[in-house]
Amino acid sequence: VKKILFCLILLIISNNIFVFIYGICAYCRASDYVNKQQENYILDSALTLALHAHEDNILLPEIEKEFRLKGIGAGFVLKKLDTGKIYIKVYIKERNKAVYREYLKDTAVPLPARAAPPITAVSASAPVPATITASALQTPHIAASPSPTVIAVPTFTLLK
Amino acid sequence: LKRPTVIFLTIAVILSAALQSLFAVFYVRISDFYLFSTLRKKIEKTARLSCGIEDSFAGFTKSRSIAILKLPSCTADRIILSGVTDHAVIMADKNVLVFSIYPSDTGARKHISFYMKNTGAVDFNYAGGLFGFRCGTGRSSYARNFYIMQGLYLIPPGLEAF
Repeated sequence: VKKILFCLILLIISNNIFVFIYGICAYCRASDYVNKQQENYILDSALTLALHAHEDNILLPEIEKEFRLKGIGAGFVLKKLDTGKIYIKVYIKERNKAVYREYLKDTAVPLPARAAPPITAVSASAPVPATITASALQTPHIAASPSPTVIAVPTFTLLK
Repeated sequence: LKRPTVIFLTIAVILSAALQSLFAVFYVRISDFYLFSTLRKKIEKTARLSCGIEDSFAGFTKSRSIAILKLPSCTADRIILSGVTDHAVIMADKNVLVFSIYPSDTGARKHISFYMKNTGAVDFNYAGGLFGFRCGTGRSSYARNFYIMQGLYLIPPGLEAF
């Protein structure tokens, strides 16, 4: 009886050790996954910021900016090339490794120019609009922009 | 056997059995998630390289089970060839996912095709400028969406798309 019990306890102990080691490995793997996803989201955010910066400063030949997201340093470099295309590099500043992506933006499809607001004479008796519709607030150059990219949507959904 | 020993052994066995059944439950759940994660890596890499979605190509038609993505062709030096595209076809059929690259004549990519088994039900969606996929194994279902817009190309780190 004692031998059987000894074997049973040995089995239980070894099994629990295996589960413990597997748990650590699974945790490390999940941690890698989370880090990778975080990198993806930060790079995607940097790309979006770069594109917005380009739209806002369309005449500048080069834009460079650094920022911090959730305590992680990131940035982008945007340069106009001689070929007319735009080179964009988004990166994360990490101590051990360089994490970056490079994009080429095709400017063959021109962005719609921002229309200057029409200057009209307003008479004192002109009626003031009571409400401003939501469509009036939309900036048409953003809505109609053929803008860039493949941007991963930062949603990760678990559907039941 | 003495009574304390019996009590100790009983408690140890019950506790161990409970913990290990808990482990089994988590293992099953995490294996589903790892499967999704593996699929996501392949599909996400292709979606990031993609510059558009094709409605039909070489006898394939875009549907919930077939995704046809356009990839900008590039040379061996990773220089993107303007106006030339390769095609990536991802086809889901009965727990099997088939990945295929159909290169252009001028690009440096080679034709490659491989499949993954036991993927569960995979279906693609294309709503509102998004390309997404959902992977379900019966117990749970995971989904991921990507924007694919034209005019901006990711310079590929290498020639492989998957």
